[in-house]
Amino acid sequence: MNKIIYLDYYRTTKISELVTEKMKPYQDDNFYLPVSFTQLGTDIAEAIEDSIVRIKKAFNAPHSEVIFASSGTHANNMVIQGILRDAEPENTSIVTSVIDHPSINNVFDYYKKKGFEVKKIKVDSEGFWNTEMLSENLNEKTRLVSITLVNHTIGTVQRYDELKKIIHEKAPNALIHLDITMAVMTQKIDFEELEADFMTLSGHKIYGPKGIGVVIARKPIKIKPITFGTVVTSPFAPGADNVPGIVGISYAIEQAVLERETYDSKTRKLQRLLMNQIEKNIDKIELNGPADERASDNVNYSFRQIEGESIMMFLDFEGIIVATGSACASSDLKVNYILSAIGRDHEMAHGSLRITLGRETTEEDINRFVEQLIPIVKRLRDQSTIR
Amino acid sequence: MAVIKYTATVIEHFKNPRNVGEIENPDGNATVGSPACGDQVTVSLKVNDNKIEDIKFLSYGCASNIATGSIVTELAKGKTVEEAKKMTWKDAVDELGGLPPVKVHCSVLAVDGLRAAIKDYEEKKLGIKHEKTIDESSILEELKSVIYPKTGKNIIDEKLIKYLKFEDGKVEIEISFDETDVYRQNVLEEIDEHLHEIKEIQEIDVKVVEY
Repeated sequence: MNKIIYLDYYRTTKISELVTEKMKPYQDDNFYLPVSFTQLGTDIAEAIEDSIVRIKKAFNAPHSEVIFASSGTHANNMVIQGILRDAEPENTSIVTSVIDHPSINNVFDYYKKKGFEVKKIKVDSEGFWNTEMLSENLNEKTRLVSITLVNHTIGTVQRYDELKKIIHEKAPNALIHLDITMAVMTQKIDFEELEADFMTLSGHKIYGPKGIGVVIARKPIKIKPITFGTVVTSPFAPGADNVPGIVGISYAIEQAVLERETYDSKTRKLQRLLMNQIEKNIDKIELNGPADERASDNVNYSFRQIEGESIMMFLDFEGIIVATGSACASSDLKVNYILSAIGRDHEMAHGSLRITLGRETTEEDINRFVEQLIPIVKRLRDQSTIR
Repeated sequence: MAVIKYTATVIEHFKNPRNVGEIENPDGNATVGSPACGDQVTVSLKVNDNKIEDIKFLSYGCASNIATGSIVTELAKGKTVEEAKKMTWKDAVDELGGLPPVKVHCSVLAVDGLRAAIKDYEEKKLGIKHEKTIDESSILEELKSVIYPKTGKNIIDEKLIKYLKFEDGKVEIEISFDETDVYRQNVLEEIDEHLHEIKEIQEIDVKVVEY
């Protein structure tokens, strides 16, 4: 088999060499935990403190507290559930959009069951929040607005400044939670400028380790703990600290922020190449998400008449790894909710491919991917019931 | 989490499906499933001397949809109409060396496609009318085609249906799921699709009981 062509960077990434190297001591001789008044324990405590400083600096977040979670999902739960823990359902409204990540959306569904007012803002055909609907659904009862800056499926970069302005105008008591997980690689993240109350992200999407996420919370902190135990580093994350993970994610963030512009211009070129190649060579397709205001490392197309799992598997036989929104390939057999929300019919949602680019993607990878894709689409269309 | 993968036979039939295409002027022809559910199969056949002389299929769907279309047509070819009618989705799954539970519904669809094409042949060519009284037991029988993706068994044998009533064109069903069951929506859509095909049913009311 040829070399693997990995085009599923939005699912996960490989830990960078730098991060591996920085983590190694803490999986080895420095395996201890931050225990005061011991030499080794103090070293560990310092490593955690340095990691926090590194993260605050990378995101320009001097007035914040950095809390470590076990994943991006855990980080989002920590924020949303931490805000709602002691809130009264009848006086509390929370807002997100219909295309936000399940680690936001499903938490909101749970609170809806508990009697909270939950507003899910609709999006347009490119995945942008409907600002009119947002405006109408904000009031003094609004306690939280959760926004995902870059959508994990279709790469839409929300017009955050516009949303922020509306929220500040209409919902004086609302806290803004910004999920920056898919944005760290390509967007400028400045916590002070963004004026968010919380930012959350995950390690493994940015060439850091799995099993670690981060909450950056504006001081004074407006969440309550949702897990309880021995408090070591933070009352919000009791229990033993994932020291290698903490060190690892801090370097992954630093590296991503330092290399952002180079990364972004490289992936932008590859993205344009890929989009041009697909549009030139394959008919009856549609781009999912915006053409311009999209993250440079995300491409997502729907192909008429055929189903995504089949395309994905034929590509896999050739050593090419991509993702699909097809229900057949999903763990719950549901059609992708984001593609449905932007108005794709079932055929188009099932026939979608998400092709995501990363640090190691080359022009040759793109060319080989398209070369393989063309005959696969043709043969599946030839044998399809849909004409 | 369970490891979900296909057998080598499934992969082989997916890569090189047998009997792909459409028969011109077929004796029987049918399309089952829908793009909404993510899979659809068309089966066309030629009957000679009561034997399935030729059979072809088209598929819109995933690997197991294509592979089961391939295996079902291969199994049916050369069989008498009566023999072919007796084929079950279990036969197709066995021939493929098994399917992941979450994909068993694809084999049901392929066999449904074969049966529908035979039915079409019998109606068009032999003038046989297929009329069935619709009552609670025939509805339960129809719902045996709905597969619970977690186990690969049908929802009746899985005892998910707690209550079923049919009166004046209205079906009332109570079905139970665990709160964390990820297949709830899929099963409800499948039930809806199967019952919508029965013209005697005008109204469907499905209640979900959580436990």
